[in-house]
Amino acid sequence: MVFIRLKAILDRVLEIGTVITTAGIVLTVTMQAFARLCLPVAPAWTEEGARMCFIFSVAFAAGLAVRDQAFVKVDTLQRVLPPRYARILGLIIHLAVLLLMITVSVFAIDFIRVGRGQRSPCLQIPMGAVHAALLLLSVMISLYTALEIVQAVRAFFVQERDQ
Amino acid sequence: MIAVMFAVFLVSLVLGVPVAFALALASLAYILQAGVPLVVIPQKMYAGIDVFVLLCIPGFILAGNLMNQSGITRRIIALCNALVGHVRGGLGLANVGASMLFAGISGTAVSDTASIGAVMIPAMQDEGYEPDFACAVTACSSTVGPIIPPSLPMIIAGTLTGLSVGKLFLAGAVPGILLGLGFMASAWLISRRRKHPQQARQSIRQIAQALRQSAWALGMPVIILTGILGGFVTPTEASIVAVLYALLVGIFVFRTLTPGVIMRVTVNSAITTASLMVLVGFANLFSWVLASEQVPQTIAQGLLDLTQNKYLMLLLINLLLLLVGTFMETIAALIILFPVLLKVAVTVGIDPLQFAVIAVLNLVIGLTTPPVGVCLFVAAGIGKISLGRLSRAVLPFLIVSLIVLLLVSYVPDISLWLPRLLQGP
Repeated sequence: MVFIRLKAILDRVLEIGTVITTAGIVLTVTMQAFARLCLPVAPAWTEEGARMCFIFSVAFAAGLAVRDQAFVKVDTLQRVLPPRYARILGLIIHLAVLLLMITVSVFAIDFIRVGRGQRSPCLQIPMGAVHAALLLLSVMISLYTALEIVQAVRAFFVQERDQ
Repeated sequence: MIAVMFAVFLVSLVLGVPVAFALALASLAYILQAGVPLVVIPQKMYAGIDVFVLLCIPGFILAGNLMNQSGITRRIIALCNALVGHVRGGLGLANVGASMLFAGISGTAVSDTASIGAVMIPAMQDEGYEPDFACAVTACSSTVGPIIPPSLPMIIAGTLTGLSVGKLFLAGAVPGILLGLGFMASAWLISRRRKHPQQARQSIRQIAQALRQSAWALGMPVIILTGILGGFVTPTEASIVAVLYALLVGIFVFRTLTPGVIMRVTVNSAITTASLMVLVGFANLFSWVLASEQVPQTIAQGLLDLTQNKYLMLLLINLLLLLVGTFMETIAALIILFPVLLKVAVTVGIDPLQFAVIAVLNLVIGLTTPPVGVCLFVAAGIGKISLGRLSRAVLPFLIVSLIVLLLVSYVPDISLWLPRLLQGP
């Protein structure tokens, strides 16, 4: 029960983050277009701001993409395998993705360190903070893949018991 | 090392690992063997995503989804039905027409299959069309989506090579219309042979009413293209103007967009964008590995050693891309192959804009061929038929796609006429 509530809270936080950053993209690009067309001088920071909002929007939504199975895959083999083996294969794939994304998460911390001494040219935001989007992205994909694994293992044992 | 990388990629793909992660696992296998610092993974992912032109993608996806949520799909279908419903097999033709109009809003084939298929496939089945025909028309006609502007693959192609996205959009317009007309002809011929039903001819007043009801939808591609071609806005700004337009129409004209609906559509659009951008990021990493091993140069030199003849080269590249398109996702294939093949094409005298259309057309044909025919999966799911049955039903439409591909490959004016006319050489 606690587990379900925590997941619902995480879903909601990521959804709100996604909406805020997407709104950020719309606002900054609208300002850029408006300023360029209607004002004598267009601000230089809008492009940089829009790109940052974009990267964080991708980072917030990446875990939700795992939840919604939005990543394109060739599931022809899984369709033709007997259900039991398809479930085992699905579990192995989730484990491989989890290990991969944990590796990316670990090295995303190094990537934050790389950006620590730098600032973005216009907004003067520390690049380490911008690079943190990659850590958020990889951690969220890892977390949601781990949740998929828990659900798949649970479903596997329930079905095995029923059979 | 490269052989191991390709082996890991292919095995992962066949086992059913999502394409984005299959690319990452393959790259990781190389990086571990080569002893490259692993921080290169987030670095290359970031570099692949941190591109301003790519901001078009969330913009166009969100605008398309907002318009769809506003109820625009039914209005577009009603308009097409009013125009061609009286012809034999009219619903099939209306299906293709709706895909062509919807292409001007969404830019992706899968959303087109899902949106139009959800309405058209059951409607066609109720009218007595065979389910496999209904699904085949829907899946194949949706491939005009990535050709007719705005087109997501064209944005990626522009991002990778510095080609003008506006000119790429224009280059895709005539081939996209040609493809749609080809699908209509094919659907009509099949319907005539199978004696599919036809509806009563609509009066001018009914057609005018349908036109009025879908005018707001038709306004979106006009605004996008006028904005870009008139030099008023960049493609990224045009995508955000499209979002604002969709919001205004949905809130004040159709009154179907509530704050809750807007939030849900925004989240869903961001999820679609994120799945594409993770793919773009990992494909950028994969492409970097290939470049560091000089694989693109080897492929390019290999192709140029085989022939320097422009027409033979086009044939070779078409065969290669058709093969790649059947088992690889469009955007990943573009990122990995397009820059290298473009260099080869330019060396033998092929115009870059024409080549971009050829490459995208080749790869979107793969959306309706097994095993990675994403549009087939979606349509078969809606029509509740087997993939095998649908794969046979799409054959006549695939022949049309191949004929259009040959025309676009060997008649450059089909793709170059419009950009030259509107934007000069």
